[in-house]
Amino acid sequence: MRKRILTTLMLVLVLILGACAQSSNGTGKNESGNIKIGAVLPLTGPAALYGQQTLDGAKLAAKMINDDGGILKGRKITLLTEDDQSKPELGVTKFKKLIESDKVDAITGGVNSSVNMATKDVAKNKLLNVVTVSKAPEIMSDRDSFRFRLNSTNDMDGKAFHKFMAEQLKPKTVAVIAENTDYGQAELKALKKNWSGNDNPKIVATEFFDLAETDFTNPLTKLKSANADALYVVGAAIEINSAIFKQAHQLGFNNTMKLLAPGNINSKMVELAGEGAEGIISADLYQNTIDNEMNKEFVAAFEKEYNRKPEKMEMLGFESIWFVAKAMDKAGSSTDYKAISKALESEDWKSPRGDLKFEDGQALGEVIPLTVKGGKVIPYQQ
Amino acid sequence: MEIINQLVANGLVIGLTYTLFALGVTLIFGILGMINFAHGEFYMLGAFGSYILQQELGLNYFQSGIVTIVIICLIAWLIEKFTLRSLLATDHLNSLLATFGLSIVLLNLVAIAYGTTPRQISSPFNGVVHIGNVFITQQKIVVVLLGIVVIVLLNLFIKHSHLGKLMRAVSQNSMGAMVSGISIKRIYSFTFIFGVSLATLAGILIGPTTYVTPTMGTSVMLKGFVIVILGGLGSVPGAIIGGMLLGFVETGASSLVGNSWKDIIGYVILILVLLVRPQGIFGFQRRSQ
Repeated sequence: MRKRILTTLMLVLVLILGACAQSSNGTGKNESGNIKIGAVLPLTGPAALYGQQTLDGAKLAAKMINDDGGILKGRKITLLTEDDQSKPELGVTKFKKLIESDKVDAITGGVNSSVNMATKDVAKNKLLNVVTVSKAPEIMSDRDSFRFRLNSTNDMDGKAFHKFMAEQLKPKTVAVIAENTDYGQAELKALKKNWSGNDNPKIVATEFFDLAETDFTNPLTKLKSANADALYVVGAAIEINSAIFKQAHQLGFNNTMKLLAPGNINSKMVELAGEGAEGIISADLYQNTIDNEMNKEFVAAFEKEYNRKPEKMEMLGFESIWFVAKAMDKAGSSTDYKAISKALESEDWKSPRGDLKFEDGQALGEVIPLTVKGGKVIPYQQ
Repeated sequence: MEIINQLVANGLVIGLTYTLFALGVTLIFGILGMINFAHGEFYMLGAFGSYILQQELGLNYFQSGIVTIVIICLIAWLIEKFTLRSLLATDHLNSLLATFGLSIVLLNLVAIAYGTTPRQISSPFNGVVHIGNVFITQQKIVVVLLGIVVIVLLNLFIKHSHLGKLMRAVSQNSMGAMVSGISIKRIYSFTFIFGVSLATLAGILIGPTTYVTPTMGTSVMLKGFVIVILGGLGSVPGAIIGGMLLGFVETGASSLVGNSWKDIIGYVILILVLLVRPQGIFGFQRRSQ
């Protein structure tokens, strides 16, 4: 028994010594050697698909920069990934690990807003924190000057798309089917506010649905009887959106304009909805057929690496590493976060989605109108 | 009101969908005296199985459906033989918990093996039929027709076949049945597999009208419970009336009040029925054993 206690004590001592040695020996951050960028993403759990897509984009950016000779006179990028499983508490642990023990130079990632809400204070005033996908506006409130966000918020998307619908598409009457969640309610509220003027489209019928539902024929039958010019679908889940468009098609909604709330259109949804997806009009930050030099290069490199075309998540993941590296290069330092942040804010950046600016840390990305034609998502043209 | 015809069609389809699912739940409860919590997962496996067989082996809808039912019945037989059979002799809570655990295991196994992306079963009945101003997909017509056939056959089977009579005997008084020489274990085993095969059939039939995901059974199971309790636990006519009633109540509530109210109204009706008839519409007091 005594022996065991002694052994345990010894072990504890060794561990403490080891830790001391590491912290006194640890070089911390310096201005030489590889640049370490952390990426905390949900790689398992409910948002795993989005996390993986984002990571693919991030990896490609690191590879492209390294193949090009690195930044800051030949320093290469090392990407350190951690899985937050969409859990805020795990996100905090992973943030602490990357910052305190791996001593990363910058930290990126975040798909779930709840995770970024919890982790934002961990990184505050310590290092560059680039929020990649999370959309909640509150993530950027109470901000230190080192926090940036690439994705747009629902408010930003909504404002632009509501205006586009009213001014370009001009339906006189609109029937809305929305998910019964914070997101669905907020989007409908914003829509009503943005369309409050007299010359705007009129919302003639509204139905809410539960996320567990699979059969939407009843609410759709009711909306059909309202005979509106357009059907506006507010939903974030791939299978639900595709089921709604498919079932609307089966119920004979054929001459109705099909609209989908911005940020929710993607190729999987279009594939599942089949004929029902034809002619949907929506909007998003990015689409892989956007015509600019950087996008062509990005799409080609992505296809070569992964054998598929990138979508929004991949593009945001790419930007997260790309901008961090380019801003460090511009600032001439990997640790002077004031200079790096200033470099990020003062520049018109080139991105696969087009020219991009940051204001108070928020990327001022504009959604572009998209439509579905022949089973493909393409930019909308009148 | 020109949408009334469409609403009647919607209610009929939803009601028969629910009924098809609830029949298995009620059968298993009626004979084994156990709620099968994993029933929704067998429904999911029915849909998933036919999807996988279509993708991996290139079978068509009918072939994949038949093979799926055979495979799932085998799985159900193994589960019954190795877990439920010994548990049924002990406290009822044990078998209940076992099926609950089974439901979690099956759901997560499928999620790990195939991921959570929604998939689609291809079926030859993918067209839409217009009857007057009513739009209905061919697949839903198949659900309605086959649903009616299953209900009729099941009733004939239980009323007139030898096995059906044995099942009723065990259901009414298992001790008495055992004394008169009926192998209760066999009847239990047969009923469990039969009930599971009904869930699988429901998954195969209803799968193509929606998308196949590992979690698709969970919400259906909830409706199944409501129907079976509404109609009377263990009662076959109760499941039929309960299923149709819930289908039409939901449709009516959705169109008259609003879609987000349909569950609330459905559950309020359930509570009202239970206040007046605690054993459900067709329920009977079990003879104490």
